[in-house]
Amino acid sequence: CTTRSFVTDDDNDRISRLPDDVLVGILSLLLLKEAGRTSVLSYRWINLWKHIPSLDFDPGRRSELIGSDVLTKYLKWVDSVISSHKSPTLKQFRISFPLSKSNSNSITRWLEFAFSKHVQRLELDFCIYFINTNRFPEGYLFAPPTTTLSDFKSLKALSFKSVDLSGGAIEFFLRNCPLLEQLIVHSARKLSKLEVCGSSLVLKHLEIVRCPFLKSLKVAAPSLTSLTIMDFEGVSLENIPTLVDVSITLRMPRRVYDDDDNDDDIWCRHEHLKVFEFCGYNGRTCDDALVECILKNCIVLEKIIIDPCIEYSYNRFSRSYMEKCARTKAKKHHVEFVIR
Amino acid sequence: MAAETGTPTTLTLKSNDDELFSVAESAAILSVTIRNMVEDGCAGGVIPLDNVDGKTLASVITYMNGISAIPADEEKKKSYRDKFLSDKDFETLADMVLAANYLNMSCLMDAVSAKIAQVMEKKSVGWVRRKFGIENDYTPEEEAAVKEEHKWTFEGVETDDDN
Repeated sequence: CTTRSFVTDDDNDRISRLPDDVLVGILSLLLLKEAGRTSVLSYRWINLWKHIPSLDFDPGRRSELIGSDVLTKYLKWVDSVISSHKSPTLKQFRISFPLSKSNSNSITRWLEFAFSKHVQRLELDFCIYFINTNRFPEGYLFAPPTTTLSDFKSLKALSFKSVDLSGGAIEFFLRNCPLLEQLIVHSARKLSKLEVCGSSLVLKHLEIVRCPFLKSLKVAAPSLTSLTIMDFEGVSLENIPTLVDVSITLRMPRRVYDDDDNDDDIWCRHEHLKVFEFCGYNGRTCDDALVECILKNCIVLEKIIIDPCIEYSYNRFSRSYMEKCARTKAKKHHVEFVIR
Repeated sequence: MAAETGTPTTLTLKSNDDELFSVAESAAILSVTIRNMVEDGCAGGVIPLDNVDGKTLASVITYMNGISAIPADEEKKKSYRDKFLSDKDFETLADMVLAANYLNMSCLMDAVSAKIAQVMEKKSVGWVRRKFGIENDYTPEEEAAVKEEHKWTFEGVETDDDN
């Protein structure tokens, strides 16, 4: 079939004669398992995959993740790769597996490894949607066994999903990672208070999703361009002059303003904000006030997307009335108005 | 620079088999190696490229001209790259990746690497050996040992073919 058409007799095994860095570049585009498998091709290939700078421990199909045998295999896999890995730095390190408390020693060891290689993009996804989520080994951050603070300096992107970590731990990263541009936190069930604040932050993308006990979130990040907040009670936004894209989902009919008398305090002028997505709109007075506030303060706003939340009791009459009012308001401000 | 004076500056590149090529500076500086020479003022006469032969350089220049003619639209650039590489055999791709590496042209380097990686994707060890003419120089015992050491690379992975 097609097997013979790619190389001619003249360039037989030409691929093996390509320089190491070129071959490592090619291998880093394959899945980790596929890259590792090339070690079996010939002597030339035995160590090449060990130099790839991205380690994505994606276990593949989720339905196969249940059972202690699978867990043992996963732990062995990560340990085995880590012990033979040779690249001095890491562009990406990603763990994605339903790990539990009993695996914290492994997790700590892996984090130590990733930071010792000055990882740029760290992603932990413990894939757990039950109550028993996994705690982030915070002791590790505040009293690192072998790492030093300089090991965090290369971090550009952090993503924690189903990882229990406190606001303190997140703030630790914000303080110690001067290059951090992206922060994603999903389903952190212990997170109650978080401040993403600092005039020297270079953070561009912030996503806080499904943190059910988050009571207070303060954001003041001068370089932020994209913000997604889902399922929260109270948020305060300040000093975000470059914000372009916002998506916010309200969970409770609580106010989004921390000052009852003056709504405009939180919604300081956003001079770059073009799209605002408001999920969970429920026709409440506070929702209307928020829409009005956005229209007033986002001076270059082009589009406002209203996504009414059907989870909550919802009155058709109030919806059509709300739509009419909001459309009139939006028209006045020359803003495109979209209802999902 | 071309943009400042209004008249396009042309550079002369020389391959390692002494072929000469004229190329607009604005296209040639896609190569960081060439851009550094231009910025250092060493691009006045003929620029010798000792690691690239004439056939490959002609092809790289076609790419340089093609891609720099496309305005900043990543989609269009990608489809140009795909089309440009679609009819190239492996020998040409190998020459191209070496040239891109030497010339420090990350966009071409990434595209050619991706093209080669695509061929290896989801394929068994035996298939990749045959396809690229890779000689298996392990003894059967050694091969078994390497396989055992890399057992995890065979777990939960499906390949499109047998062996």
